[in-house]
Amino acid sequence: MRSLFCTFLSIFLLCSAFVAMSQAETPPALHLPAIVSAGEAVAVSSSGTGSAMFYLIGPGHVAKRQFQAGDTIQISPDAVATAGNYQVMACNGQECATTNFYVTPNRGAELVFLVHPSRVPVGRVDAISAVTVVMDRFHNLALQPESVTFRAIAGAIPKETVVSSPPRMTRNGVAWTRLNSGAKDGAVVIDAALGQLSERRVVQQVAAEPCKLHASAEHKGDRVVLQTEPVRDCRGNSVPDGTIVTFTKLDKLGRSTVDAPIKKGVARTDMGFAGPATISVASGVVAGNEIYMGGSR
Amino acid sequence: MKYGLALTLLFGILLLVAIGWLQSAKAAGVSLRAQNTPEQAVQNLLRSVREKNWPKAQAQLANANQVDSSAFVYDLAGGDGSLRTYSTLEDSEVSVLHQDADDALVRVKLNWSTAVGSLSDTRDLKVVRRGKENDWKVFWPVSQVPKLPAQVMAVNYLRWDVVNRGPEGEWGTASIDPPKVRIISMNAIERNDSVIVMGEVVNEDTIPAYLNVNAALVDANGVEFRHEGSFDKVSHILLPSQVTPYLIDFPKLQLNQLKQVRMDANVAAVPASADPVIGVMNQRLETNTVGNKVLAGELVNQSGQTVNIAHVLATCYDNNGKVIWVSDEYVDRALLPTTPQPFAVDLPADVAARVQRFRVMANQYTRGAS
Repeated sequence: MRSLFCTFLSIFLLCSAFVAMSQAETPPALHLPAIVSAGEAVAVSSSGTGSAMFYLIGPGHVAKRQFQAGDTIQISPDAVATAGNYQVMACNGQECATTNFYVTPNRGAELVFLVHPSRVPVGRVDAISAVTVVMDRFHNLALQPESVTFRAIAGAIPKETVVSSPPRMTRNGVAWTRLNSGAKDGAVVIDAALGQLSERRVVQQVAAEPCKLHASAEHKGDRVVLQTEPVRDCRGNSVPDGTIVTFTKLDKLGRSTVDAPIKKGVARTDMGFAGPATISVASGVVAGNEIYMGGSR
Repeated sequence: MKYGLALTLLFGILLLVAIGWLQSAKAAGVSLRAQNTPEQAVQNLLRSVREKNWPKAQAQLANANQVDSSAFVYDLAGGDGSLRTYSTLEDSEVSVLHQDADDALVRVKLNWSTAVGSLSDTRDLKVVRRGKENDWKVFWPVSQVPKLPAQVMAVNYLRWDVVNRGPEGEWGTASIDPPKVRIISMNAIERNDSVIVMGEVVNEDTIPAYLNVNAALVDANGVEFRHEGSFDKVSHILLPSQVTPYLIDFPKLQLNQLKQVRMDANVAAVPASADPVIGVMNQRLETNTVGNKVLAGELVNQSGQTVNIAHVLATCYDNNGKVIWVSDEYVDRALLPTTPQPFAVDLPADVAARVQRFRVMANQYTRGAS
């Protein structure tokens, strides 16, 4: 009789435990793609029962909200705008289910364009460096290869000359090229294009060092007027105004020097004349002609 | 007897007034004694100059009625915003070079305290015995305030302005590259318990550069142990293709304590003007009145604008074209348009003996210009 009672009691306890277990909420699990694109909405499916807390932890966004396990959770495009590793968590009481996913940059939608230098002498090989960094519309570095074309546009419409580079593929979001400076001074527009996108920068091409610097002297009373011919580089470009030309006169009173800036293409000065003198002209490290002035005042 | 106390009091009051007057006169620098020696006459004159009491100073001259008072003040106090107008006579050294019964020649070294440091001005003054008191008095050289004929000078002022994009600029947008300058020579020497680094820098760009030249000394372990800048021994504004010397002084150091010198030219694009142009005329090496070697000449302002303060930089080269010394000098007179203004840059005697070639340039500071 006692053993029968014990058997029934055991069966009763076992059934009670089974019923209790079957009535408890099961911990939720999350299912979503391992890789999504930045700025694209994500649907996270879940399993389990009962109410739970959903967490989204990313490089640029953290969110928390309640949900019913088994429902689908919608992550808005704004929440996954920043590329990088994200973690989603669903917690039910003491238990949490965690899943990681990666947000990749979207397609290139913006160009950052760096051109150096802003001034370059004419006729230099590989003198201009043009680097473009491709970003998506959320300012993530667009890592997938994209085709960028560089162009140099010199001169004014309609006589402009355009030199285009072959398309260059970005590597890790960066494409670059080196350009020669042209033969003529003036502004040159450097353009980087990605599909319909383009960015422009202006580089000033300036004359190189003076070539065949030549000055003349004219005797006017007790003064001598010194003037250069139009100062040009070896390609015929005018050396920029403001460039210093040094006139030196050597006579019995000593050495006289004037650092005269080029204005309207020529440098000019005047000095006192006190008898025979040797006059020379130079600009920077470029030496020009020498003039001997003799005779009396 | 009844007036004894009153007389005593009156005498005491008069005595005290006399003592007070003497003391106040002494404090005010009034000479109550006859100018018995030429040296004393010069000292009295300089005392008035130090006090900037120009009428009193002029009254002490032997030729007071021949000297134009405005010219006298211009000579000693300066004008036209020159460096002398920012100067005070600090002290003076007076020595009699020659003395006869009625005239003497006195050398005066005037040490002026100025906005850019101490400047000296040496003059030989004639002192004569004149007047009823037979006192010594200074015979001041008659000068004129420089006067320019009215004229119109056509000047095409050339100027560069710099427009920066400001702090809110977007990353990756174009900016202005700093001007390209190049250190074309460097020479390190040891002199008077100092290491001196000097050389030249050229602006290879097409825009003006604001320049600072710095040097770092490296010891045998490769450690930088001293840093100095060229301060005012350089032309800070360097126009395109212009060459400036620089000199950097490392006091209390010997050449064998360093292994290497690292040079650094800090450059920035700044607004600047190409004018006024200053000619450096008739440069010559000579010996001045006190026997020192100087590089002398005249500065001529070729524009129509008054240059308030001029700064002369002289580069000395040896027979190999190496820079062996850089000297500078501030000119304490304003440069009036087309008016020559003498300058003299001191050179050490040993350097002067080795100089084969020199180059002089002038910086300028003009009030209201940038």
